[in-house]
Amino acid sequence: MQSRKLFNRISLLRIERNVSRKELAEAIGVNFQTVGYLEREEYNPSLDLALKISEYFDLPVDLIFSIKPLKPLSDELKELKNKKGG
Amino acid sequence: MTQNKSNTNRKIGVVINMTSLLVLMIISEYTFKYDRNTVLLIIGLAALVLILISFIFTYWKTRLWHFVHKPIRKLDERELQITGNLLRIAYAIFTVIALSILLLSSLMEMQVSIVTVSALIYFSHILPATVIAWKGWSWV
Repeated sequence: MQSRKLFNRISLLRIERNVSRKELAEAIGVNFQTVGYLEREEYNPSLDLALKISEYFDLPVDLIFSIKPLKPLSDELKELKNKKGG
Repeated sequence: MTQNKSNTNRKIGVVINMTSLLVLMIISEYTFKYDRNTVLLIIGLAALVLILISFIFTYWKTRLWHFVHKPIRKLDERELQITGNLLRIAYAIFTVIALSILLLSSLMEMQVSIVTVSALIYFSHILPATVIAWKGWSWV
């Protein structure tokens, strides 16, 4: 079965938090090359791995992964803020 | 550019390795059944050396051999997925080739030599790594 392409913000979050691929890989229990595949969106993680990544970054899964191309994080946060405010 | 070059080198390595293996098997079968002479022995030895050299450059140094022989508990989910696909393809290719050789030897009422059996054992171990060497990593 051909699965849909998943978009993600792993690379952005990793760089923002100054974490190396190796450190992230060790924390989520995968090979560091797998982190590279995830960042390049060449591999779709399992639900378990996606949850581990969201736990690691302490962010909701839908803020890290999406089936549509992701908007800049600042726009997303602005929308969330507006939703809460409205 | 470098990636393309290494892909081409890997493919050349696979062709050399598999061709040498085939030559070795044919020579061993021929000498086993018909005639043993120095020229065939030298060609057989040259094929063996080529198998060894191409194995080192195509499978050992590229760590493809290590990847396909890694214990399951040390693989992550992506690697498990790749290994599963590789083994599925390798199993299909190997069974067809091995059973065809057995069928052919039975039809020709010929005994299979020990070299051919050893070559098949080597072939079964090298096949999953050969699939990656040939197709690259991105197809999985």
